[in-house]
Amino acid sequence: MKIQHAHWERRNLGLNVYEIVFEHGDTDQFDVDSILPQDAEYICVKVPTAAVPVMKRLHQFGFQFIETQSQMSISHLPPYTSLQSRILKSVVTRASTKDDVAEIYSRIEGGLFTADRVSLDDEFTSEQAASRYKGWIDDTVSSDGSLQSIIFKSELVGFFLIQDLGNGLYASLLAGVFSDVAPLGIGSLINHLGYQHCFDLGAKEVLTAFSSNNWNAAAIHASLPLKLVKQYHVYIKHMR
Amino acid sequence: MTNSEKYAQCFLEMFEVVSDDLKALEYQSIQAWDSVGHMNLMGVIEEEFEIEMDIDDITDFSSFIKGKEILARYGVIIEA
Repeated sequence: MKIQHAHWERRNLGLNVYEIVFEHGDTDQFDVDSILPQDAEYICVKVPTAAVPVMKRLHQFGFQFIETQSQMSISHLPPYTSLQSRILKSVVTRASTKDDVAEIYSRIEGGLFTADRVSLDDEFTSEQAASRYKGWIDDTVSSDGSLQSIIFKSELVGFFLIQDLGNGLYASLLAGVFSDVAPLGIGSLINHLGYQHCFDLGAKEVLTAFSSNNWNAAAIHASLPLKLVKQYHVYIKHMR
Repeated sequence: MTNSEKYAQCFLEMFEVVSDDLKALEYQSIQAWDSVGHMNLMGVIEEEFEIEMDIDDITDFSSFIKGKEILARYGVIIEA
């Protein structure tokens, strides 16, 4: 079991957040009250699937199940279909400009993302959820990350966020589509574009993760040749 | 099989809906007609009617009803 003070969430959520990650073989005989600092305001616990004794123990301590996270990897992409190729002739990607970033952040503030555990939790505000995404993008871009805009017929219709983890390993962290201006169906290509961008940069393998609450992400990834790396059930507790 | 039957069959097989639902079917009105479902549907329709639609038509294909208008541009008449 690892306990981490998610200090970045102080800026994002305005709370003292701690993350606990269990792995297979970890004991279920733990006492959350005694292992966490008294200043914890929100706790997020990741439990490997099938670790049922740990899950039961978390219920005893008042934790609530909120999602299952699937961590996947991809090492090659299938060729584009004829249909995809035709659409992609009208699509370009570029490093997000200052104006692009302003538009992307405006979209996030307007509720672009609704399927994460913070947006879905009525004990958080939409401002906190948006702040978390913007902080995540800022942090990633400042540490070998890249925010890329997706342009369809000269209009910004979405973006993706990737990070170089070194040794040919990349992470595809986030992707979004502005549904009011994006052409129908392009959402299915956004992740594809992100992975392709990583491979173009020399990636041998790209990691990604999505929540069981995010139907669209699950549907898109079900259409790609991904390998399941890890799955965690996520439990949360508000301490305030 | 008539064009109308072929057209309906594309939706019925792709989205596992019933015939009574077809007239009201719109993009994202059901979970299965998401961005992935849309691309799959477009592929099936192009194959069924042996056409290749313009990008604007693919991205404008927002409902079962609208699709009939679009297919008419390619000479595929879907009878009422």
